[in-house]
Amino acid sequence: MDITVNVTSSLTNSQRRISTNWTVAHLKQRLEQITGIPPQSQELLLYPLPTSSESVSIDKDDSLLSGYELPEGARIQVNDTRPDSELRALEDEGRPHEEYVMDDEEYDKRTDTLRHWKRVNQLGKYDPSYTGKLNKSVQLNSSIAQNLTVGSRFRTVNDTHDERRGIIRFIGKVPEIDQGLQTWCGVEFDEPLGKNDGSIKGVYYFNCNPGYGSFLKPQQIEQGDFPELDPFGSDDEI
Amino acid sequence: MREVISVNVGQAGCQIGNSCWELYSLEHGIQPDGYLKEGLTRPKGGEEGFSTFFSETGSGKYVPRALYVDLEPNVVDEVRTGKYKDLFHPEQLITGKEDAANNYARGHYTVGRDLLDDVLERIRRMADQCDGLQGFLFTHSLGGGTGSGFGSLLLEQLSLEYGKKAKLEFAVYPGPQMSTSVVEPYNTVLTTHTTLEHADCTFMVDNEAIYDICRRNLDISRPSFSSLNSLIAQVVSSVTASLRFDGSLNVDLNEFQTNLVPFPRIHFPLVGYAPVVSSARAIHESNSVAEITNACFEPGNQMVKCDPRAGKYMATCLLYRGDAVTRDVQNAVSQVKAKKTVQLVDWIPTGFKIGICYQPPTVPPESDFAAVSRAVCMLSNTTAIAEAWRRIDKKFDLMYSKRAFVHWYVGEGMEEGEFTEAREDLAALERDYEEVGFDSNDPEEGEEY
Repeated sequence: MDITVNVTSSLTNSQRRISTNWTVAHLKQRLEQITGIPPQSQELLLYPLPTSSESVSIDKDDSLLSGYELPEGARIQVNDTRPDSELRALEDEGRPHEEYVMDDEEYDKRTDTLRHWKRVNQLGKYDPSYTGKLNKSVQLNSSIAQNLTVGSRFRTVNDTHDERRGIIRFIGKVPEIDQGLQTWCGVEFDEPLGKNDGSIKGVYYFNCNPGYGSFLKPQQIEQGDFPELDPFGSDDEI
Repeated sequence: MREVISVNVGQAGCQIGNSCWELYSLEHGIQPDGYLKEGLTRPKGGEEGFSTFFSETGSGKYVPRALYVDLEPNVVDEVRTGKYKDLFHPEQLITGKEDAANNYARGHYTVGRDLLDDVLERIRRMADQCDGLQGFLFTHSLGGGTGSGFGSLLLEQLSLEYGKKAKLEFAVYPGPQMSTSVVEPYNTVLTTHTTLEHADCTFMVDNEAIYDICRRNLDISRPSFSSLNSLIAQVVSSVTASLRFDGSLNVDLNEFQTNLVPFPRIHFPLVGYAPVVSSARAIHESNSVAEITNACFEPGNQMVKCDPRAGKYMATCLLYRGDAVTRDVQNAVSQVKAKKTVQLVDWIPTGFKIGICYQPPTVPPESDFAAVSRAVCMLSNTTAIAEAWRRIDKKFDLMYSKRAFVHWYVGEGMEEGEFTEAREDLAALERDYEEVGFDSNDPEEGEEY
């Protein structure tokens, strides 16, 4: 008879159709392909009811699964008995390991990529008018920046958040963002609504508490006497 | 006629297939035995739409244009003995004897090869019955051995044999925490590499995202796989509703690609769906057009875990079902577009396309879902979905740096070089997504670092 069981192990969780006329040895062979644990290192615990913590051990390799109380929906937990299992290393994703990184040169060489397509079709930065538009934006930003002063209060305009307020802490180029193309404003918000502590990729442009600092384009900034917003004050006027 | 052949591959593919065909049958008024429900003289959905998914036999019986394929018999045996056993012709259910053991190489090279000719022959026979075959709709998992290995083998072959016919996929992507097998990252990377140039549009669903939606919205503390599959079926049904009923948008398989895919490799739209609601809650919620439109853009209602607020949109289709008036829809959409969290790519024209199909969603009897008068499905090509690739690539690296389990694949005759080749292709895919987001020269653009 075929039944559906849940198979769980430290790394996996899945639903499987198994047959009760399999031997335990055969089941273990199947479970290796799912859990990565070799049959001789498997400890099988059968939980007949998914909601109960009562379990029995499945340990007689020669016996048939029909010899066990194995209802539809039962759970089989597979434990790894090896003290130094290679699987331990896979449990911790934060563990340092070799990561494949494709460098720019290699990506550039490929001809099936989006970049290649943009180049061939003169799209985005390969659009002949792109440089002109970009220069205009750079100029616009730097001219707005000339009217801003470090230490002044400001509010954001066209913000993806609600309006945010704070103090301008830095005005200038930030090579860590765009190789020094645009002018940026480093700001410290009144509330922790920013992205950093005044640093970008480890380079400090100003200092503030983490989460209060951000770098914005000058056109997102309106300088002026905008006092700190009272988070509880806005509804009181009614 | 514009027929679509559905191909369900592997355990997950076949189980999702079951939920989908149950739902399609209910929606069109077909009983489990393939005959019309009493009182109906014609299937619901109009001749044109209905016949894309069902064929009619001389005796008035309707048969799904579907194929089930699995390398092992256990899962398909459930169809053979289940409630819908008479709906399908036995020839539509193909199984082998030996399973793929969660191994892409077995599904693609060894065990799968042996079944290939048989499967292609059955597909040929189904295609011969069509007047104007539009293309194929695949459901499979990226992590399983059959789904990944055999699924990609079949897609490759269909490309060779049917050339430009559209090939769409619904693919179960491994959840961030819940792996179904230890080698899932390998299978996912290998199959994605192989199918990248063969699939026109792939809708991914991650079981964990679905699990969370069910738990949160349906108040089920431990959703079963069948609840998860019912939700996936609702989504698949929404996406295909315009093909099966009279709709206005995406009435043709090719249109999905035209509307959503600016560049062939970037063909993985993010899917959002609303409302997902239990009967107990449904009476307390109005689910207006504006509410469900907003809801389907929320990360919590998306089928893949990622944050679209951190990405840029290339294209969006909103597919409404049921009671949705054009004016309400237009208002709701302009509100969404005005949101600053919805950022559009500015070097290609990005469109919001809207489709309305007046057939409301249907729920199977004893379902966890409430019957609702309207629903919306969002399909968005957003750069945010690259997060899913980054996640799986990292897991791949963690294993491959130790060459863990690589011998299972080499033992099936696969060359180790295929691992590196696939991984490089995925790295290039990640770069492709970055490249979409670059080149913002819109002075209004709110960039922040």
